[in-house]
Amino acid sequence: MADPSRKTTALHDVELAALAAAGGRAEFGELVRRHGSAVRGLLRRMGADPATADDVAQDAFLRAFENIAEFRGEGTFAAWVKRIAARLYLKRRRRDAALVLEADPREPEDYRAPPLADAAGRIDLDEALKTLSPAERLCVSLCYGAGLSHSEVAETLQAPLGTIKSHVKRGLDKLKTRLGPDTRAGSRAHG
Amino acid sequence: MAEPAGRDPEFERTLERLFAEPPAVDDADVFVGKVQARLARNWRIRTVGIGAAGVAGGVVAASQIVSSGLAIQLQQASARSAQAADAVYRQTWSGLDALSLDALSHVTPSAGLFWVVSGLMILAAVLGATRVLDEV
Repeated sequence: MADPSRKTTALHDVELAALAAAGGRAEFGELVRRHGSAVRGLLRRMGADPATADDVAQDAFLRAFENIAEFRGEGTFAAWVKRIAARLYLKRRRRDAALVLEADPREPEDYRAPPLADAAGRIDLDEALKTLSPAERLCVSLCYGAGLSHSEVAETLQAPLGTIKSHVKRGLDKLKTRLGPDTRAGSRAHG
Repeated sequence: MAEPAGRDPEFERTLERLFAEPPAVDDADVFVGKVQARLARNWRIRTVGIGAAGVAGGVVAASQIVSSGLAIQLQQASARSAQAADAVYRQTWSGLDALSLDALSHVTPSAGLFWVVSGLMILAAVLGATRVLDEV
């Protein structure tokens, strides 16, 4: 059990979650502070506009607070909330009938080669993701951002597994073309 | 285990790492504030709902007790019980006059029970109302 006298900023996510499960809203606020940007970022990378991403991220954290007892620390808290957020976003898109996973043979209009790295030398994943079709972007983000397996993505999107694998493969190929060698260099530089 | 053809585990790990890096946002504190405000609002609504349900339940229970004439029924039941006990007592201990049963026939413990239950219900209603007022 966490020592209540310790500051929330000094506590591990699992300790904060345990305190939040006991009704600690301040402790949960610290979790939101730590992981809010990651969840919002994932939703934007999945294709949500900033307002929708923020709205869904808020809903995801509220849902997480209600079900915080289910988080037992097997994975990271961030991954857990990201999965909740991803599912909520997909549900919203299905409700809005905006979720289309048809293969689009056309390249996105903004298919010019994006800068591989910003001025600081960081790989710009967000720019690279813009070169993917919406379906590819969604599937790649769900697999590598939200940590869902292909099967889970297929189930969540209610689409055939083969379709999901195709979208992921095409998306990865595009990202690899854009990011490949420089990404690894950046990875080593950052690692 | 061999990787399926075309897979690049190193690139995929790198991609996962890139996804794990949250993009910089300049309104992180605003976002936290919004979530906490919604948490507080939900908490308040839930608390008020529970309190209101308690008050409503208490009021309904009290009104049911009053309207059903439970007090009269309890007094009648009590009187019948006393008479039955009196008969048993007299039959069993006939010939003995060790105890006076007159007092027993006037005791109405069920009426007392009624007031205890009513009091508890009123107390529950008051506590519920207090909680509601605290939260509003």
